[in-house]
Amino acid sequence: MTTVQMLVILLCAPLLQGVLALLRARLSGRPGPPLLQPYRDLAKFMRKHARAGRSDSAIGFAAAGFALGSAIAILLLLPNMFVLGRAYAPFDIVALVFFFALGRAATVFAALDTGSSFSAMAVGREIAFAAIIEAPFLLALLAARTVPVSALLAGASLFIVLLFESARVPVDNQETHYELTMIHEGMLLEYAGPVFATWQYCAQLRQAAMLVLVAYTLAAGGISPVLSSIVVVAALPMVEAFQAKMRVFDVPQLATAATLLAVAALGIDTLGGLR
Amino acid sequence: MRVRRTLASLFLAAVGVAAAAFAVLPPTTSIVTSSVFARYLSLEFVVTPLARPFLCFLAIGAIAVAIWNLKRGRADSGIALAFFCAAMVGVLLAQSAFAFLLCWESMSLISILIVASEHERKSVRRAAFAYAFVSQLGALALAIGFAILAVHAGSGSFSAIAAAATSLAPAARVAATVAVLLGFGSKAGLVPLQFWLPRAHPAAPANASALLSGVMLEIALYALVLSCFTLVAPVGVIAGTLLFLSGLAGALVGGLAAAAESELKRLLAYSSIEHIGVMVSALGLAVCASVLGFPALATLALLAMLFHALNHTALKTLLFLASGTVVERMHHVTDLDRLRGLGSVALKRSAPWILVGCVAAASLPPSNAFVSEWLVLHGFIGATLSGNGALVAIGVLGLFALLLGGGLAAAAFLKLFGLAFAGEPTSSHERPERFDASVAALALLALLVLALGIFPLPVLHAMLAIAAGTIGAPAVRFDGTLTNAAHLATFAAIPVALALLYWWYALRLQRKQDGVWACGSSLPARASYSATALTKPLRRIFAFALFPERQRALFPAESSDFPTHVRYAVSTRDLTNEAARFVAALAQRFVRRLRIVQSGRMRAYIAYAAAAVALALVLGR
Repeated sequence: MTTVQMLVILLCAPLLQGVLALLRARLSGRPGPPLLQPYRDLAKFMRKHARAGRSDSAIGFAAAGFALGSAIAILLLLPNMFVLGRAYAPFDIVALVFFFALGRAATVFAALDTGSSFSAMAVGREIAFAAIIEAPFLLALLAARTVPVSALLAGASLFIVLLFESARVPVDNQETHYELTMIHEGMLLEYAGPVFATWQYCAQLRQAAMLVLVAYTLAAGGISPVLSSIVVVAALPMVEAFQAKMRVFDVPQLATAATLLAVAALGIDTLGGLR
Repeated sequence: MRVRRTLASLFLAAVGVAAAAFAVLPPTTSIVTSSVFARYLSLEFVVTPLARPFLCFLAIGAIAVAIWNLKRGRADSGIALAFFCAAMVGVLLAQSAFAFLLCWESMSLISILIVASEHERKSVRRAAFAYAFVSQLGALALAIGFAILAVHAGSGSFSAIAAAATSLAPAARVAATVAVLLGFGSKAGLVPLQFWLPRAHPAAPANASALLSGVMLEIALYALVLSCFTLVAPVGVIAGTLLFLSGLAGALVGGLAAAAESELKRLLAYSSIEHIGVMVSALGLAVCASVLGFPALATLALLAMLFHALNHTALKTLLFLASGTVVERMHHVTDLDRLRGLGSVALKRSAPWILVGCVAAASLPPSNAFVSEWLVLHGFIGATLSGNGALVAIGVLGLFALLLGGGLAAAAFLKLFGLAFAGEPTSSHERPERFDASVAALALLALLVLALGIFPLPVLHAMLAIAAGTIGAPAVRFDGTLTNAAHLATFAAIPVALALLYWWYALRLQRKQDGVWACGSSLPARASYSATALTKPLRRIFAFALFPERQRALFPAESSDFPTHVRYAVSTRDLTNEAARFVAALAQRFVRRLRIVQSGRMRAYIAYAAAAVALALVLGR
């Protein structure tokens, strides 16, 4: 079943990106791109010439393979949405967090290898945010076990982690790479062609995996799996449409909020378990 | 010169091979047992199960450094390092208080001399003095602790001390525990006794730093395990919690300082504090769990600690040796703000192996440190699930601090490799590096890192038996956990395979050389991003702990209205260092007062001697 889920995500991750982009555009009063636009983009990048800032370096290319591999490992480690509704099945949360970190590290290596200051500026922000978001990520995954309230709190915490992980609005903005919002896009500015397609596809896979994690956690709290998936997919563009981009140095407060939510969830969960 | 170099390296390698030979000797072989002195001063040397893995770590470090030394480093430095390693072998084999103190003190003294070997520089002299001070204070505490234990047991032999440990009086137990924790903790760089480490380790030549960080810290860890589970066992929850908290503080302080640091060797030293913090917090968890009656959890935590110690040996030896190569190739420039693109020319052959070391130091898959960090974190998750209030608190705190510290350390190593090794070189007049013995040493260590990361199971099984034996747990089995760890390693093989595929694709491709985007102009080398700039967001987020300060100097200074150029410098503060300095200043004032007794008059000294004799007679009656 995990393999089926993995194949579905591998095929549909760009579609999910298209749905999210369309919803966001509609909510902010624009007609929005076609649903299948991400597939067309990927196909376009595949046809283009591969280039990197530096001609003699293969690190950026190998890093793309690393990122894709870590995304596939994440999909293999994900809990299974198909068995939702039954008991919460434990999964290897530590490995999951570390493979997310590996994908991020690969992106950072690729960005620094180009030697571009613009990418390096984005890297500085990325490594700072990555360092403070790992702890809430793991604690929230650990908290979502049995007690409904703690699962909801953990889901809220994971949702904030999702904003970081998929470069969404209060933290970053996927659609631009200006100075204010140039974390994820800024790092990949120097890449083109099939390698850039790989980076984009990896980001879509990781975003889909994060969405599954949030939905799964909420479902562990007693919401039906289908409903929780819909809630999460709807909530993401709503946050983007109705929120302004945060100042970069206010973003850590968001991470603090995620940590507090996760610790609260863990506390409630433990008290529930002790009784 | 070449003959001397080869002989010195062979000498060092021989000590490493001897350590490996001791590690595989059959159990409880007494090598030297001489009781010619009184029973308190007996010299006993036995290979214990706990010492075996550490002998292996020592062998790995010594042999790798010996190979590296064939090409780089001072020609005859191998000889001093060989004596240093021999003293460490002695520490691992010693099984009586006197033998242990003898070897421990020779290890300390030789390492102080090695740290001071470039004593022409003032910073090195100061670092060596700070290290000597802490080290001798630690040795004093250790001597007192061992004296208490030996007097209680009626013998200096460790087996007698261990047998008598359960009947220690409470006051004596507290005193002995505090003394040995101070003695070993100061050597291991436990917070708050770590302030000497980021000064002394970088001050030594690179091959010595590799052994100091990669092996001696692990020896101190061995001594901590030995004292917690044998000499003063059971040490109790309070000591375990203190160890745990100190480890957490180490992980946070080390990670944060490493992330903010831009000097290569100091960054590596701070990362050692972080890794030691991870290991000591796992040790603290093991102590608490075993005292509170969770032997399985304790065994898992101790296993994780042992495996992490092995991984730290491999990766830190690799990285410090690499720093030595950088020092030689780049003419003593080790500032990350000035090193660029070493991987394409100056360290062309070493760079891939250094990348492996950096990935391992960041505890990312597919490295060995990822597997051990995974085990440590699962130990803490086990603590949160144990149902015991104290352990739950330890688990949550541990997870939070280790992930934060680990994330910061990862940022430090991404910065290190991404800026200094990847990217465009600033100067192109270096000759490209060729494959030689120093590259071979790095390659061997990197292959070990990868092999342990992808096939950890045999080593884990061997260490499990040792951990269970040390805890005294009834044959705990972790088949589930260990098989999971092995599966994990196969997951880690997926990214490696895909990376190789993409690399092959990159090599086949005719890539156009069109440079980075620079708004249509060309970028001078000065415009490339610096390490200081890269960590600005981190400095700003953690300003409450780092206290960043920016200095700006205008040149020429006399006409600052029209400066020709401006120089910026950023400094951060290390609070633990400042605290240590404060304590040292207080101690110095106290010692100055104490000088009154040293009057220099003969009569006074005769009176002191008479008083001492009288006191001895009264007490010894």
